[in-house]
Amino acid sequence: MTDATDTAMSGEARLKSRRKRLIRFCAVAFIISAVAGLATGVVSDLYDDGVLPGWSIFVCWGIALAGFVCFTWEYLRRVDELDLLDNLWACLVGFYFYIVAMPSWYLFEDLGLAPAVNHLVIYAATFGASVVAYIFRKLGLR
Amino acid sequence: MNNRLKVLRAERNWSQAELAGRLDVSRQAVNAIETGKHDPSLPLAFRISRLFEMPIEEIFDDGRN
Repeated sequence: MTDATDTAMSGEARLKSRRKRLIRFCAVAFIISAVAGLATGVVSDLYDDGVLPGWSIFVCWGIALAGFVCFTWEYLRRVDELDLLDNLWACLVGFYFYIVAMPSWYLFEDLGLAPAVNHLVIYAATFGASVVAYIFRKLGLR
Repeated sequence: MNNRLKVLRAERNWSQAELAGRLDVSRQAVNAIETGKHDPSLPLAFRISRLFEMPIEEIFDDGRN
């Protein structure tokens, strides 16, 4: 949204400021994610060593999940409708990929035509499908 | 959907970035609307209409007129 200071600026200056705010937000989110990743590693090591009780892992997981939801919510609130659509399309492609890939592999495994379902591979491939869809949209292939 | 956004922008000597800043969207969004790859939402169409001080139907044409 624009405020009184923004309306005094030219459109190009406003766009620049908008872009800077988004980049700053993404940078802060990235730094916090990196710190949270490190903290999770330390906490899980302490849990493995018997220093921390089991519930502390759930607390950490809850904080990380809440942070992820908040940052995602805020990101989608800050981007414009075109980027929001790009994100939604990417998620839809990823979702469709998953609902086709996972049962297909399960069927082939059941028929003895494929090795056991590897959920990590499906997770990575689903993520990859979403990223490819997002990049295609960003390249203007809409 | 066809639109006159590029013409209206050119009449004012605005770059895509200038228009994007005035509409509070990205430059890519302006480009996608101009090239017909994205139909703006109703709130954005109203913002465009107010910015150019023209009715929406004078800017956008769904080809049924």
